[in-house]
Amino acid sequence: MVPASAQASHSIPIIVENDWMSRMENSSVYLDGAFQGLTDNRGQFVVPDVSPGQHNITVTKDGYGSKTIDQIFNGTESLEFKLSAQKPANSVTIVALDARESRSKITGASVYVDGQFVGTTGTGDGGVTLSLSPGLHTVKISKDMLEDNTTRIDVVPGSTYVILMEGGARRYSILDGSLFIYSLSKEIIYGLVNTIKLSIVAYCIGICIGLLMGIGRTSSNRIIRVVASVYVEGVRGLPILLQLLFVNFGLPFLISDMTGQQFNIDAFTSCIIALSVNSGAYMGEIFKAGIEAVSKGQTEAARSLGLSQNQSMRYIILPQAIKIVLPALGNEFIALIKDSSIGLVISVTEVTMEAKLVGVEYYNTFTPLLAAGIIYLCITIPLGKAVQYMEKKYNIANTRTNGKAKKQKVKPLSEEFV
Amino acid sequence: MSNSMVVIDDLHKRFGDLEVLKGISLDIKKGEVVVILGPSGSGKSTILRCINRLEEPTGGRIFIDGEEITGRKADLNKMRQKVGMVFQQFNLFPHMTALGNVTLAPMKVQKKSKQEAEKIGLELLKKVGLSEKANSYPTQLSGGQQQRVAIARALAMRPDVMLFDEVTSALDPELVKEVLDVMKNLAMDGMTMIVVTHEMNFAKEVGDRIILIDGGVIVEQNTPDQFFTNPQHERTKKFLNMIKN
Repeated sequence: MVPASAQASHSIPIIVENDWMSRMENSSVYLDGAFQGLTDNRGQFVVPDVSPGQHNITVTKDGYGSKTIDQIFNGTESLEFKLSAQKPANSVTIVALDARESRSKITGASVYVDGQFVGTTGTGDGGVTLSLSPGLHTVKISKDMLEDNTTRIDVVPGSTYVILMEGGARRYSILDGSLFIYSLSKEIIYGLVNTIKLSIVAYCIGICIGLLMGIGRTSSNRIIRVVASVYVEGVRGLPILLQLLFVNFGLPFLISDMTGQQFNIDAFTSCIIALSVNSGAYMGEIFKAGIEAVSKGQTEAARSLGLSQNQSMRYIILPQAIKIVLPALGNEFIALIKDSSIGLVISVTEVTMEAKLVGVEYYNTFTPLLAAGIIYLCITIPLGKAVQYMEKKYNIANTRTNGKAKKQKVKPLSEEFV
Repeated sequence: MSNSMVVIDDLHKRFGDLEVLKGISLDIKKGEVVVILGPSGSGKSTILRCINRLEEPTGGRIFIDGEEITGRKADLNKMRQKVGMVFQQFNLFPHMTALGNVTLAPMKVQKKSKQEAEKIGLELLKKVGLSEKANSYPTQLSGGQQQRVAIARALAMRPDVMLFDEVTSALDPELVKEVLDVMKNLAMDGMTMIVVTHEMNFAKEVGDRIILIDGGVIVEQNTPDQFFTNPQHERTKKFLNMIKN
């Protein structure tokens, strides 16, 4: 029984934080050596039933040591505890930074101490943490394409040492072979895959859109014709960059605003949507031209045989139209490969983006771009030749042929006049 | 009326301000070969194109085998199966072989099996004398051969009436005969035919009835004998004189 004259006991709220003002949950709280409970996820705990008088309150957490407050409590106190992380003895952190103004962290650099490899930067806080005895040590840091940096450090345990790395500008001349090869390999490995993915996926979707629009534009139904025309004319009349920004930033904002829910499209998907929508419009015009190039007599002949409008389109008009537009469709694919470089503006890692990254990383904005140009040409020129071959082949097939004439090589007109 | 194959009742056709057909009425018997003559622009082809509704008539009614094909209710695709048409420009499907051209409609419209359609197709190609060209593409055929394939293609749907729209006009003179021979055989086999042509000999020889159209109306219709030797109208005489010269 508590004497009636005695003051009532009270509770004491406490908050536990670390050095960085982060609240510490699951810290154990003791009152006069007796365990009371754990702090919640906001680092708070309320110690109940503290009678007036002197008490000690201790807070501990694994890896952070403990803290004790010993004082007289009379009822209005709230307590704050600060716990410091316990670092391993003699721990030292070495961080590599870009020597330029950006001072961005350089990951993947090898760190050697007294000639011994100790680790690679980039794990954890962006540096290498290791145990070092106090005193002088030689620290060497090196990364492919960057200048090595060797420094002597008088190590004080618990410190973080920053080592700056110079880029390749001084080492790599404007046409340095190794940087060129490095650019090529990076652009091919990280960029080309995405460039091709973007182009092929957008092309396939674009063909479907284009086919629908082409048929729509030549439809006898006025509403369908108007809808298709608005799409084709609208998309063709806008810069593709604007369309991309609209898909990536405008559309999510609009949808978020309308639905009240966060809505995001990732950059790669945005890029595919924008490229598909754009090339779909151009291919719509191509298919329209192809359909119109098939003579009206073909439809009449088909209809007079009792084929429906859909059957005529499917069996008679489209097969001929597609053959007519095949070279134009090939050119559209080439255009798409080049257009996919707009991915750069929303940081899709395609060839151009990769070229830019390598250029920034190694102080040389010429060589990586040159390499990117050569990669594009290696794709677009052979494809262009293939389209030319296709044009020639179908021209021959469209004129009267029998087996013999087919095998003959047809010289382009220009050659005869050389 | 029972043996009428095609009945045209007061057919009108207007293209914008231009009235091409100003009331054409015709009754064509089963098995009859009607040859339509007339100067260019007189509306001959338009009549044919109205009969299978490639052109929409502005007025009047058309019956085929007693069934009205004008008006909204008519099932165009079904109706067109009864009417075969051969065009001046052949209009063969260039991406298909001769046999492919002939078998397409039986397979896609009448849903016949490929074997069945090819059996009919080969028979018809044989009839027009092109068995050995079954697997040739249109570009590998002469104009006359293409036109004969086109006739076979139209016949493959087993139509009740065949419409021929100046089918020899685009042919080299030496190729005309082979096409006309096919048409003659077809007529002798009892096909109902409406033929727009400039071949007067064919008209005389094969036609059961000759019709002269001018300015969108029928000027005169008669048997070939009467038409060519004893024309009733001034306009007919003038037309025949023009052809002779």
